[in-house]
This record gives sequence, C-alpha cells and structure tokens, in this order.
Amino acid sequence: MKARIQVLACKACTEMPQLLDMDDLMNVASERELVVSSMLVDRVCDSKVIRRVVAEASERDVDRVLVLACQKKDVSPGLLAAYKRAGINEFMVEFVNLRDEVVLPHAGDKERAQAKAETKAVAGLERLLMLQPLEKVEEAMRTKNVVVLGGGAAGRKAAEVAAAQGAHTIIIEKSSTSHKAPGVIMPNSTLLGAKGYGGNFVLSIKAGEKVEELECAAVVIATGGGWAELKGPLAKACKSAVPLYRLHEQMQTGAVPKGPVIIVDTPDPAGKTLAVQDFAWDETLELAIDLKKRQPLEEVYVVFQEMRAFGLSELAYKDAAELGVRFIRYDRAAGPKIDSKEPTKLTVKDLAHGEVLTISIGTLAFAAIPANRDNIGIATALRIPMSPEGGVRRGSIQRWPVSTPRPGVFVCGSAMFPKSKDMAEAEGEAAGLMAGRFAMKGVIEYGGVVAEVAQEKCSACLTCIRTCPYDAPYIGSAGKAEIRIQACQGCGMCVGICPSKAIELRGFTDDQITQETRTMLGGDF
Amino acid sequence: MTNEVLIIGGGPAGLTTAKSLVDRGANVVLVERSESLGGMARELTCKGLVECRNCGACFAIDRASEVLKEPSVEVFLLSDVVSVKKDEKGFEAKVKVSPRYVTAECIGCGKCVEVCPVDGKAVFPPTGTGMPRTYWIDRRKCLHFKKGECTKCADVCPTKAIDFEDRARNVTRKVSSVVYATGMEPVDACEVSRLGCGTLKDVISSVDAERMLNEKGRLTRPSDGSAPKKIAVMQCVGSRSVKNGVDYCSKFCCKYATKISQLIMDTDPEVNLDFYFMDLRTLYEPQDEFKKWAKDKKTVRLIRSMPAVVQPGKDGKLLVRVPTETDTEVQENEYDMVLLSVGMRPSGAATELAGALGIRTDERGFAIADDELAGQGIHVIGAVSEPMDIEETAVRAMSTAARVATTKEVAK
Repeated sequence: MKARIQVLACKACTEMPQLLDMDDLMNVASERELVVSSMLVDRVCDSKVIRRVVAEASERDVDRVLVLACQKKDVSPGLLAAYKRAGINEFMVEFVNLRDEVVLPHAGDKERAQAKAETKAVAGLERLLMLQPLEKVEEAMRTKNVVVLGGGAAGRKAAEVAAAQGAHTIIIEKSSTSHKAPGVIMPNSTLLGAKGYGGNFVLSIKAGEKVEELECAAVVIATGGGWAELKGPLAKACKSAVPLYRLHEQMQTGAVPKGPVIIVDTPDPAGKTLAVQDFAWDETLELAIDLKKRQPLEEVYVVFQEMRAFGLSELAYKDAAELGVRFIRYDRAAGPKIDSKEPTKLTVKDLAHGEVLTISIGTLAFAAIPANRDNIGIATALRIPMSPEGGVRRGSIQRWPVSTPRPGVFVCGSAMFPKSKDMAEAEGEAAGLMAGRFAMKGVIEYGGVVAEVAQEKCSACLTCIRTCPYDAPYIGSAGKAEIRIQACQGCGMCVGICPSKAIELRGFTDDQITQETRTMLGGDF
Repeated sequence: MTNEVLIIGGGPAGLTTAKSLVDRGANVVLVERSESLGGMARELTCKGLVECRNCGACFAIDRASEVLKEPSVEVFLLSDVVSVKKDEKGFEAKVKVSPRYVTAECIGCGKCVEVCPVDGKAVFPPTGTGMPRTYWIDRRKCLHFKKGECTKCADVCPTKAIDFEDRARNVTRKVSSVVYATGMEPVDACEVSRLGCGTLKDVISSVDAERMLNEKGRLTRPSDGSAPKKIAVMQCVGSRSVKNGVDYCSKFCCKYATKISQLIMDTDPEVNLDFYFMDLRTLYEPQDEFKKWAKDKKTVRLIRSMPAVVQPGKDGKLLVRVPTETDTEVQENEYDMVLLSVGMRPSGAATELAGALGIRTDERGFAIADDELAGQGIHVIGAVSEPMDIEETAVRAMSTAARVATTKEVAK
C-alpha cells in the first residue's frame, strides 16, 4: 500500500503567520506526491480542531501525518491520542518545529524564513515516507519494593513517604545501628551489584556474610556525605590538627582551645590527594562566632578559597567579621603552608591585601567535607554518573529534582553534595514521593524508539555494553549483542559508537536521517 | 471530609505542590494574583543553548501547563484570597475573582492588541511564558468601560473571545490545609544609583536581561539596538549590602548570572565578558565548575571586585571604574553593555491575609515557616520563607506535598 499523508499546519502563535506566507507553505506541501489531505488550522491544540482534523484523516484513509507547528512537547497530547484512536501509529506523526527553528531565529528575514520553512516541510515529508510504525508494550513490575540505600536522616524520610503511598520499603544500612523506620531494615549490608531496569531491578546485597538477591521497582540513594579525613600536606605537617566537628565536640564539653584558632577549608589546599565536595561554612562561622564571644582577645582565623555562605548564612559571615574574626582568602596555586620543621607556624598569602602572613598556630581545624566513598560502588553498580568531587550526579531538572539520569533511581541528601539536615530531609521526602509513585505505577511502558542490533554485523566487541548508561545491551545466547528494550531509553549513544555500525535506532535509522538531510541540502537552505 | 488544599501563589512553589498533591489524589484550589501561572519563572530564559544547564526555568512552566490540564485543580487567576476562616473541620476561604474579559477561545493571535486605541494598550498577552496563553483586558484602562462604545478588539477577534459581560465573582471553598507560597520580588537595580541604572540606557538589570533573552533570544543594546561585543556582569547589586537593598545573600544570583554568561557566550562566542563578583556562590554546582569554564574561554575574565561607578564613556560606551582585586589601584574599563545581577525580597509575607493566617515575619520580612503552624495545616514554602532557587523550591514543595497529604486531619 502506498503512503497516504496528511499535512497539518498551525497558525496559533502571533509571529508565525506574520512572518511566513502560510498558504504558500501549504501549497508547496500539498503539491507533493502522496499528500491526500492538507489543513491549515487556527490552533492545533484545540479539541474541536483535533476532532475535525482526525475525522478528515480517517475519511481519506491517512496513515501518516506531518505537523508544522512548534515542538512536539508543546502540542497537546490530545492530538496524538486522537490519531491513535483513529488507527494512526503515534510514531508515524512527524513534528516540524517551525516556531523555534524558523520563526524565532529568522524573525528579521522573511525570504530566508519562508525558504527554510519550505525546505523543512519537504524534508519532513521525505522522512515521513521512510518511517515504520513502532509499538509500545507494557510489562508488569514484579514487586512494589523501594530499596533505600542508607538509613540516615534522608533515607528514613524517603522510606516513610514511599511507604505512605503503599510501597514496600527496604533500607540497606551499612552500620549495625538501627533506627525507627517503616518497612524492613537490613543492618550491616551493602549493595554489590544491580541488574535489570527501572521497575524490575534485581540487586545483589551483601548482608552480613551472606549475599542475597533482592527484587525491587525503584532505588533511592541516600548514602549521605563522607567523614572528614586528615589527609594532605597540612594535616601531615601539623600533628595536632583536628577536623572541625572534633573541635565542635570539644567546645560542647566546655573546653576552650588554647592560643589562636585557625580554621582552614581543607587539609589539602592544592586538591591533589583529597577530593572535597564542599566546606562546612555554616558550622565554621558558628564556631568562629562562639570562640570570639568566649575569648574576645584570642585571634580566630578563617582561611578559605571561596566563602560560600549562601542565603541567610551571609548574616553569620557579617557577624563574625564584626566580632573580629579574621578572614584570609588564598589562591589554590599558592595555598597555606606549614613547614614541618616549624609546625607551629602557618604561612599564607592573603589575596585581599596581597601580603604574605605568618600566623602562629594554637589550634588548627579543617572544615572540608569529602565525598562518601560508598558512592563509587553504588554509582558503578547502578550505572549512574558521578560529579568530579565524588558525589552522585543528579539528572536534569526537567525530569524533576532528586532524579538521576536512570529511570527508577532517585538520589537525595548529601549523597549529591553536602547539605544541612533540614534540606537533606526535605530531599528525602521528595525522593520518597517520586520513588513511591514510580513503584506504585505497577507497569513499565517500553518500546517505540529503541536501539536494535543487526546480528550479522555485530562482532561482540562489548563497546555498546560499556557505553550504555542504562545497561540495555547484553551478549545474547548467540554470542552477539542484543538490546534489552525495557531498559533502552532511545538515546542513540550505542548507535553512534558501534565500530561495526551494527546498531540502528528505530525511527532514526541511517537511511531516514540521510534522506532527510539530503533533501534539506538539495533545497535552498 | 474531602482532601482539599488551598494554594496561595501560582509560582514554582505553588505549582510543584499542586502537581505533587493531585498525583496523590488531593483536590487543589490554586489562587494566583496575576493573569497567568508561572510566577517569576515566566520571565526567565532557558539558559541551555547546547545542553540543559539545569536552570529550572522550564520546570515551573511545564508544571503550569500540567496543572491547567488537571481536572482536580481549580485555578483562579486574577484573584485574591479575601479571607480565610478556621473552624473545627478546617478552613473556609473566600476568593475574589476579577473578570478577565477574554475567554478560553483566545488563540493568542494578537490582533486585539494591534487595534486597541488606548495609549499603552488595555488588552495584554500573558506575561512572558506564563500559562495559559489567554490574553486579558485591564478594566481600568479599557475605553469600553469608560465610555461604553469602543468594541474594536471584539470586532477584530477571529474567535469571538472577547466577553465584555464577564463579571467579578466571589467564591467560597472549604479546605483542610493552606499552602502559602507567595514567592519573592526582585530588588530594583536602581536602588543602587552609582551603577548608572535608570540614567544610562545600556545598563540593564538581570531581570531585564532575562526578559530580553526570553523574548528575542539574544541581547541588544537598548540605546541603538546593536549587538554588544563587550559586556560586564556585576554581582551582588542590592544584596549583601548594608547601604542599598538587602543585607543577606540572595542565594540564586550567582547561579543564574553564571548561566546567563554561559548562554551569552554560546550565542555569540566573540563577546568579551567580564564577570565582577565578591564570592562565587554557585548553588547546586561544584564551586570550580564556572572558574574552569571561564579559564577555557579566552574572552571571559573573572574579576573579584565591586565596581565603584558606571559613567558614560566615549562613542556611547560605558566607562566602569573599578578597584583592582587588592584594592591598591583603580582601573577604568569600557563596555558596550552592563548587566546588574539583582537579589530578592520576599513578597506578600506581611499582608493582612498572612496576619489572619497567623504567619509571622522575621526582621527582614521573610515569613517564618514554623512547625506549629504546619501542625495547624498552614504550610509556608518557597522564596517567601527564605532565599531559594527553583530547584530547592521544587524540593521543598514536594516535601510539603508529602507532609500535607499524610497529615492526620486529611486522612480522616
């Protein structure tokens, strides 16, 4: 059967009909072969318009549609749904974004805009002719389990909120301390590996001495931040140096440190041996103010690269400065130094005044918060990218906060970067909300635009397996790569990197893309 | 008892709460004072030309369009909550809805604005990228209500969407919880007079820059419409200051200003950009990321200094006098355009309604979000309670939504 095309153009936005001659554009499109219906409508998202358009499509037995409007995301999903009901496959509807790609960038140039719009319409039609209908399938989730990695403040909140939505929560806690939280708590356990995809993960968990397999629908990473470490040249040279929290503990018991107190942001100012995520600014300022109030005559120095006292913490910064705390800003290339022969003196170049200061050390404390080391194992097991400092990287905010690039995996609290307890709990609740909702959907929808391996071309080099962020490719029983389509998100990374050119993305095959590009280059572009 | 929640404020905080609540089966009454949903995010530009920069501008707008499609959200635009009475079952809220005079038939063609004879127009499109895209008429300016004869917009409208018979109405809703999310307002850059705001045309605030980038996709000099080739971005204008504006750090300015700078360099790689700042506080981003980016771009300079004054220079340029980083000398730099990054103030924290709800404010005007109030079913969230960016606001809103729907009163 030959293709039967409907062309649909929308003139809802103000700029498009002003800049483009829409009738001309429609003529160019409708003159093409196989176009059986062409409609210029006031607003493609309008339900009445949708009904009219789809009625015409069914009457003329249309099997594919070209929509000339804005981006697909902005067009009402009602249009696709209506086409679907009329028997037109949702992957046979092609959107050409005239608004963002023609009207906005070429607002000053009518002729160029018209030529580009026509070329894009024709190229869209060519591409449309090469499209194949694709199907989406559903798979039931085997469990309603939400696994929370870490039983700290954020993790417990996440479990609470996920459980309130009906999910079964399991907290995997590294230590033996047990807290009150809904669901199951597995103490002394860690995540070893993960298989599967969002909705149907199979995690392997080391609980005590045993290794268990655990099925779950969603995972929340709530591992928290790392512990302060005394690593780096400054800590090495000054043996009496302590992490900031230790100094805080000492102060809590009523002890007052002797001599001038120096708080340095990190024991490794050059950043060579210790990856730090951030510094405990709020605590530093609080402690400095407390010290100055208790002993107004003793010097307190805060030595830092960047004073990140966000928001209302700025007020503490101001208070501390007014009380006489001395702030010394240094550059990473010429950081503070302690000569090991003379471990009671710290020399640092103060950038605000340009002079080199030598300060005698009474007490030295470090405010650095390094990343949690467990993040590496978890990120590797779940295949999630990490930030350069060693935190778990969050996904784009377009997928909602606390999400990761992997569907079904959420991250909250200091696992990303250091946060206050209050904020970590709020993120825990947000992650619990997302994970609970994900797990309670009960089904995974997959298919459509997914990758496909041409078995005869595959040389089983494993490049796709290493590249895929979603763990979709695997080596099948025939010794060749195959795609687990439930996990495939259609990103196309394996397609681009495959050295044998054995992988194609459905709906975006080489033929379809080259045909579209060839048409565009043939026209006046 | 039904699970109804009143949300006051249709910005990122209110919208995220609304969406998260309806996903959990609640019914929401959303009251917004202006003509469209989206709040401050309506006039923010997407800052990713090549890749998503996680600025969150689209997040609020996407939530706005979702909320408008939700059958269990009742949205009142151009409306004010007049009073909220507490009784043993919950709250009774009275909402005054002002007429819009344009129906949902509006397709946003803009013909009405073209023909409107009023100076400064009386019919307007929604602000920025606000949702819905329906226009509205300001009764105080419209000639139809002054003299009763002008019907030019109604005559030209292709979909007959102008409805002069639209009337103000009062509605009463019974709800079990109230979410107070009136958000924030930017500090006026002109409060700092020494930087040329208001007197020099090519000195614009970051709010203007966002609006310009959002509408046109690129920056142009307001004085002559040309593309600026040398741009200065100045941080902490009207915040972290004891003299002008506010004394706290507004938290998100470094985030948006660094991303705007990256967007400017993406759209025109030939631009020379100087970034003046006190401390680089890029929220939610590693502290070195922007520094590394600036180092790689040969035409971007990061200068840790607060410019003293902006004056008119030669050939329509702007002359910036600025102390060097160690305060020992004064430099003079010429620019085509200057961007002033402004901070924020809480908005609507000290209104009569807030007082009636028992919301107290601190000495800087932020509403205090205390647990006692939350226990009574009144939740204060978003930038009205402390400075926060869209991402943090969204997290706080989701956390509130989780708490609201699990409150015992609601479960009954």
